[in-house]
Amino acid sequence: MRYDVAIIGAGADGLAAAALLARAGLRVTLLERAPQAGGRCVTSEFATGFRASPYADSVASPPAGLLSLLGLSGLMEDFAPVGADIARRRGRTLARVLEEALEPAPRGAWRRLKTTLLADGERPWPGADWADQSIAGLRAHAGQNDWRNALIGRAADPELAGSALTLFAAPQSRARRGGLGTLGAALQAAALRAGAELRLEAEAAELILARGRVCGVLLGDGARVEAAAVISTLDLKRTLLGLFRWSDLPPGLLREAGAWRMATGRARLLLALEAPPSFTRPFFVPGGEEARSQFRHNVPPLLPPMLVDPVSLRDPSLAPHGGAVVTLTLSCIPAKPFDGDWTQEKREALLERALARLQPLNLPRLVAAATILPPDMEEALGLSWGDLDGGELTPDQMLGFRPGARSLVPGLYLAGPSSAAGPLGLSMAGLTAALALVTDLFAGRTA
Amino acid sequence: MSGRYDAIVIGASAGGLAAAALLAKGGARVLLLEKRLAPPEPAGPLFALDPALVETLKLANHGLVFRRRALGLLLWDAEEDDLLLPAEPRAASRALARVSRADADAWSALQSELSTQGRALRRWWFHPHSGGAAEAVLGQGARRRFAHDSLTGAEAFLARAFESPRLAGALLHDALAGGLAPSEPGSALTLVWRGAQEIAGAQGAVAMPERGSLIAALKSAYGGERRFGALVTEILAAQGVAGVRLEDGEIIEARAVLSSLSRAKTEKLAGLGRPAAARAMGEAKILLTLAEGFVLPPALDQARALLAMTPQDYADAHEAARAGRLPRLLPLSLAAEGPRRLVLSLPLAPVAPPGGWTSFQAPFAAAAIRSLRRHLPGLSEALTGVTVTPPKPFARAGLAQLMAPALARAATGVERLYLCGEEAEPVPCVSGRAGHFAAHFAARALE
Repeated sequence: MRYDVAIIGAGADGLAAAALLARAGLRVTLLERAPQAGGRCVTSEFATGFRASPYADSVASPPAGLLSLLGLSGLMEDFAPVGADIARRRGRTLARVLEEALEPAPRGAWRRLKTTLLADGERPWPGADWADQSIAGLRAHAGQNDWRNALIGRAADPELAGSALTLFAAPQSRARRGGLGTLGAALQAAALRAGAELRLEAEAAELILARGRVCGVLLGDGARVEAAAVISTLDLKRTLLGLFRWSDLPPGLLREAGAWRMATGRARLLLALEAPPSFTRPFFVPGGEEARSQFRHNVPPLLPPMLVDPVSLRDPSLAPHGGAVVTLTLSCIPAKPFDGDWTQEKREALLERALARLQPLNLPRLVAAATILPPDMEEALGLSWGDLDGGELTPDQMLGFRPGARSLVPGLYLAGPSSAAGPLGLSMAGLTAALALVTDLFAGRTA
Repeated sequence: MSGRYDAIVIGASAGGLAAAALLAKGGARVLLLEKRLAPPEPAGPLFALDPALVETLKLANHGLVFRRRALGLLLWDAEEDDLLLPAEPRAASRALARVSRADADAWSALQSELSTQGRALRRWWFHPHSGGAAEAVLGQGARRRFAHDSLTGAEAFLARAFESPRLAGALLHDALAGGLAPSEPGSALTLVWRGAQEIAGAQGAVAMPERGSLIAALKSAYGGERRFGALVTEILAAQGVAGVRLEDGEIIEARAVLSSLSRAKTEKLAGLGRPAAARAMGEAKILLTLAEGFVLPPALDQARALLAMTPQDYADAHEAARAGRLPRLLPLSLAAEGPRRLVLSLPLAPVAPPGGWTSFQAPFAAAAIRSLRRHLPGLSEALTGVTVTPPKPFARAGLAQLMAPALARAATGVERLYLCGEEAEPVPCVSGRAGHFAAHFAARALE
């Protein structure tokens, strides 16, 4: 069977794109490497009765128009609206990324979507004035929680020019109940309901090319999936360097992909507690003076910056009666320590140090804990270096070279975290790629 | 002599003298005021000298002599052998080829890219047409590349060029001028800026004038009215500049004032109290005089030396300087002004260390001298004098300054009051250019 679209990766981007494209009447297959769909939007039971989203508790807001279009309104809540100026610019940026995907404009449902989402805007990444801004310089405009949220789990230095761009990608939205897994499950249901096909444990090994056009996916088990177009939700490095024979890529593109820098530093500690902690709201623990320097030299810092979030106090469904779940999100954790890979002892030491810093709070007895480090995220989510952002959010990678949905190889659409819309919001890249693909179909540019 | 002058120039720096000389040459009646009794000569090598000055003022006829017209680069490594890269690009490539073929090729490629960029940007850098706005002068291709490089950090820019972090680390040193971090946007542009300058006819070089000969030549080229030991306490402004008031109360009238003081100081003298964000760090200089009998390595006669550091070390040093601490490794370059004098340039010196410079300069100089122990054994014993020049408290440098038209950098809040000193330069490297530009703008305003 030949599909209209094969989508690599059934995370929030892949699922949203599948749902939209299947609703538009296309034959869609989703290829997911893991045994479950959802990507970072999952909730897992890390100890009996204790549940949490392992990779993140919150995400950059998905476009409101998208969730209501898929019948999923009300699942998410915004908890940290960013400063008005940033929100306005972000809105305009989103609009331009979408507008580019919609050129030439199609009819019908897509036009409706366009009017819901687009306002008059400026070029994608209206940049130069932001390239020079630091978070420190913008503190007067952004609330404290905005910039701290934007920085946690990221390597950016708030004092340096360009760091303000991370505010565009600040997580500010979370699931009302059940962790991010609720959203993942709802997106999966929407995709299946729309008629998309989902194949689990189907790892894409290589893209099939014919006359310079991508026309299918070769799976790890040797099966061929033929499709008129392919959407990859993998990051830039995995897509270009991992799925192509390098000789098939234009040399310029190969060089860009090679020079693309991933960022890391994010770790998560999930704590199952016997009783609720004394604090009821999330709070930040600032990092030590040396934390960033140690991170640069691949030394796990003694005092990494942390966000401590008692998630089960907000959402009791995550913990058994009487117990509690607290998540810690850490920055400045190297993917590979200078003295070799992460071992069990090093993981335990990291956990112990983090707990020691919470000592003054008299945490209730720890029932169980899970440590999720950059290599774990890489393994579980298929992200280079475990980087959830698909690359450093620096001016050159945000405003300079950051490919749009369709800019690379004919027949291939990019919907991963490294694409232009990727950091702007959950499912944004999937939505943009779906729009670009449908637009091209209307214009007769595909198949 | 009294009466009304066309222009008063404050400060007999290279920029001030150049401005005075050019205005006088154009027929204006100029008065040069300098608070010291003898104008100071900038120590150490020059990155570049405005070619217009050399030509228009015929500085060679006025006694400008170069000890070296082009200095090479001597890399002092902690573990590996020293590496001498002569100023002549092909010779440098040959020297590199002995270590790494790939880096030798990359070196040639980078040099030719820098000179291509330099040629494209020359018109903008050295001509104050249309207020020095890049759009007015540059072609579209040059503008695009310029915009791209402006977003990139020097670290990423060099990582693309070189295989070995050693070479990238060495060249990063020149990107930190103005207190930029190696990953900050603007630092790659600084590198392009500094690397592609033309100095007295030699491409992409750093030159060492004979000590005292630059200021002496400029003074001789000016030859107009001057008063040394004259401290300006106020710049009089009523609908534009009206004159200056000296310490003893004397008022001197003039239609334009060109100041080589910092922007903050100049505007304060003019009664504008606009606070500028101060730069956290800048270039400090340490002048070492040596006892007779101490033999310098012969390579120092034709090259300036850099201590080899990794990009991480530079980032650490930047972070330390922001906090007013001494870093583990202090970035410095060193040039010999003859057999008895060494000039150390330290680009990441804190402008306001917590205890002030009086208490900071001793440990700072000691750390710098200590870091040279391996390469200049016996240096501490051979020292007969150590003079530290702390960094100037300029306004924060950044992308905006680098991209701004020259007129915006030279103009102040008062009509016909211009900056002609170092702070009107985006990156401290083209000596005299700010004076050349300020003289041009003042002459236009006086017409």
